[in-house]
Amino acid sequence: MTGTLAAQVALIGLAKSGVIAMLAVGIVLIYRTTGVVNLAHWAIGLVGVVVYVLLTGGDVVPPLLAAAVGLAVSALAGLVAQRLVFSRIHRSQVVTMILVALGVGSFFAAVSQMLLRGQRGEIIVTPFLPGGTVDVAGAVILTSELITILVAMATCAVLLPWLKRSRSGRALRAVAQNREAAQLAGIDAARYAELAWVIGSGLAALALLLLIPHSAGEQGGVLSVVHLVPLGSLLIPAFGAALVGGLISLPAALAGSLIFGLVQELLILAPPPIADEREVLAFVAITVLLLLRTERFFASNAELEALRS
Amino acid sequence: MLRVEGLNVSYGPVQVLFDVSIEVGDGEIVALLGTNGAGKTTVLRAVSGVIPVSSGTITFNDVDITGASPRKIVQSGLIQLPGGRGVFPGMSVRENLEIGAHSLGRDHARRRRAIDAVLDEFPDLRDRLDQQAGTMSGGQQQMLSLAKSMVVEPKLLLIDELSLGLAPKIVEQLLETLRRYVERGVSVVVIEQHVDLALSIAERAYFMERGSIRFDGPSAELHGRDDLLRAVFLTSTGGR
Amino acid sequence: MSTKVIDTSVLPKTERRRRAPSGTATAAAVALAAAAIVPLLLGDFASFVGARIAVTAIIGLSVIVVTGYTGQLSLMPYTFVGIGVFVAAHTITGWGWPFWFAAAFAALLSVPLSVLVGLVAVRLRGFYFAIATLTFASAVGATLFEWDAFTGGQKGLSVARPVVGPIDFGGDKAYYLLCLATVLLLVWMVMGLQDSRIGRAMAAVRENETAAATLGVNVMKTKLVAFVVSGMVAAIGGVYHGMLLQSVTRTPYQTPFVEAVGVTLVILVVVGGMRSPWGPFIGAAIIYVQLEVFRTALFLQYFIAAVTAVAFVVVLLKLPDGLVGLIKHEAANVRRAPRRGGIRVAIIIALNVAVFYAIWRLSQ
Repeated sequence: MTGTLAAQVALIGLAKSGVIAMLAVGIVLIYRTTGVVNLAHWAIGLVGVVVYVLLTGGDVVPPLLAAAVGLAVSALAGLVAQRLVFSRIHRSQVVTMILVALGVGSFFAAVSQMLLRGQRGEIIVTPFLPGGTVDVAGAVILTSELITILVAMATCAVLLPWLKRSRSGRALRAVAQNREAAQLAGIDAARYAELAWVIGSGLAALALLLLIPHSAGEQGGVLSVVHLVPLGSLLIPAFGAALVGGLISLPAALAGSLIFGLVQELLILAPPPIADEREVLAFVAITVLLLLRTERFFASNAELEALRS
Repeated sequence: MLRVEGLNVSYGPVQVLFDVSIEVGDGEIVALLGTNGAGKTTVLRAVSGVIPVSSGTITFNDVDITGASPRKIVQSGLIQLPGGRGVFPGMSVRENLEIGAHSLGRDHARRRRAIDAVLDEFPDLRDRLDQQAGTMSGGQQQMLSLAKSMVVEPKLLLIDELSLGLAPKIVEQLLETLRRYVERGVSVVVIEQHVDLALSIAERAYFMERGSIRFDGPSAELHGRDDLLRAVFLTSTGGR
Repeated sequence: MSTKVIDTSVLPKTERRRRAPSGTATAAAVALAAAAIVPLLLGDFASFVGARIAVTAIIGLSVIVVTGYTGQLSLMPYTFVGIGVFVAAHTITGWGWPFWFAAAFAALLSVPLSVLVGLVAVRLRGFYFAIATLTFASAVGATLFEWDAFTGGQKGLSVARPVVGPIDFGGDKAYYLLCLATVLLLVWMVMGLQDSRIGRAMAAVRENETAAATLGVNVMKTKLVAFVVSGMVAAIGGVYHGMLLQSVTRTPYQTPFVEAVGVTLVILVVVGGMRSPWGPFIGAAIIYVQLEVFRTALFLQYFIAAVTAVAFVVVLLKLPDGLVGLIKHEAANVRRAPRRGGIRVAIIIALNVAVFYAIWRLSQ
């Protein structure tokens, strides 16, 4: 039944795409509104995951509430990072900006580990998603994977129309396109930059939280601190997906997420040499995207200049 | 209406404005002229609040707006047309007007009424509401930029380069629209490279050089000052 | 083939090294003697820490060349370190090569990879350069370092410390002195690089690529040279790193992004001072001494990491030359007003020692 197998793999890939998409959307939003390439993205999301793990540890806080709190903490971390640090850097100092992002990331990674002190060993992480499997038209996948797909789709279904049609969404896009012109229209650019950080960081936490059942499943339901850190490894395909849209276009980044998640899983079905080197293929794809300078396709030269200065 | 006194502005360690003072009365058109890099745009940006002021005061309708946020300044009825690309090229005409209406608040109906009122003044735009701003001609974009700024019914309009790169016929059209607003009491400060044009519409003019005001007075008087105007003509005739 | 002649007089001048005032020379000599003797007096463990500092300083020099001098951020130093580590394991332990030959060989072996990555990366600027190196680091981690014959698989490999004639560098004290000598040699060489023609071209590229190009600097070639040199230095550091640890596994070199060490390296170089070859040495000394002193208190380790990250961001925003810059500044104060400057320095040192001691007491 290769057809069912393919469908099953495709659904698993779709779940992965969903996680990548939520990370990529945050990266694009933050880059467009503030010019920061957020290498601290995963660490900021990680703080929320750690908060979730700590809250659920005592079996007092219901998992869904803990997940919501974790998400809020990450959003707050993003807000603080923007207000205290990134708003003070001039955009033209690219290397300083990347280094600062690394520093902020390393700060939140250290804070996460500090919060987990005394829980060095393995912790049993309570999932907030139901376990078990579901049958989707003959293809059997984990319930958590189905929920991940649905959450990702819901996120897009809310976020994209909000950006397109609401007053705040429009203002956010205006700040992204031309900061000064937006300010001259009475838009508080700093506030909307902070809003982009809050949304992006919240989405990062959501993406990593959705990965928990998957990682926990691989580890037999028991996660150690060590297993939390590699959650960030999906950040590389997320950057790849964002690069499909030149870090600028959200729809293209979503398409990129689909490609990176889906193709990587589907290649499992390919003959061995290709199937074994899936990761390497992804890196080759990212390198090609970098060399293509994809941002050219999504913004005029003038806009790019404005982003850089 | 607008009173700028002893304005000093620096970009980092470099001071670019020195003791600039400007006054604009009700319903008056004032031209701000000068050589390239004289600091004209900097004056407007400082008044709009997008760059910080080192010292000096800016008063608008007897309210001190020095150091106020751009948002507060826009809400008080002072609007600047951004220089160069004043529209959001990736957005439709309607969205651009909505951005212009941003400071009217969350009341959707109120924003819609304001936009409708502006579209009555700029009927050409009504047919293009769903067109991407970036795909319109330069003149249409400038028209949109002006319309976008008029949505909030400003009392004072700061214009950075109205005629830049536009055909005279289109400029005349823009000026006609602008005059209609001035007749209703809107004041205007306009930066112009095209000196003759500026002096023909403005009653008074300021002339800037290297960050300072070198002349202010009636436009007619500036016409006689060849010593000042030569510098401007030398730079502006090249483009004509 | 014609070589383009660059009029170096138009390039930004790096500070001509003046004859150091005698006070500075004395201070440097005292510091050096202290660096050589103190760990030996404190015992084997302190010598091990000293050696780790020296090795980290070597690896940090690779960051100086590519980031400090040329203004490009490479996120793959630990990939080259990994190459050095496993080359050391094979050549020194397996084939019985002398360690210096292994170091030269590792440096040589890093070149094809750095040229390959470099040819892609030098076409990119800023963030894109960084992401390209990150991508390649991940790709090498998923291929070369997955090759069990090269890395020894899950178990890893062992690396022997060298014996040169009658001297056995097997002990921590002797090995520390070897590392110290090597790092001083490399610091001297990297200093020389800064004053060379290519060094001035690197500075021009760092300040402004477009302007550098108009001055006749071949921007791509300069970036490529910087990247290759940095890879060689990191590979040499890897050989010493392997000998320091004596048993090595592939994991730290496979996951460049997640592995915090890669970032810690950049952090300590920036805190020490990105523009000076002494920066990594000072940064590594400060961070590793703290980490070792507070080794027993896990919480403090992460606390230190968090504080260091904050210090890193503050240095980036306020102190572009890091602690080296700060030390130079204070030294100048002392020279200008010996009494006031001296008291100031004494207070700063006393405050630091006091905080350090207080934290240490609390952690016990």
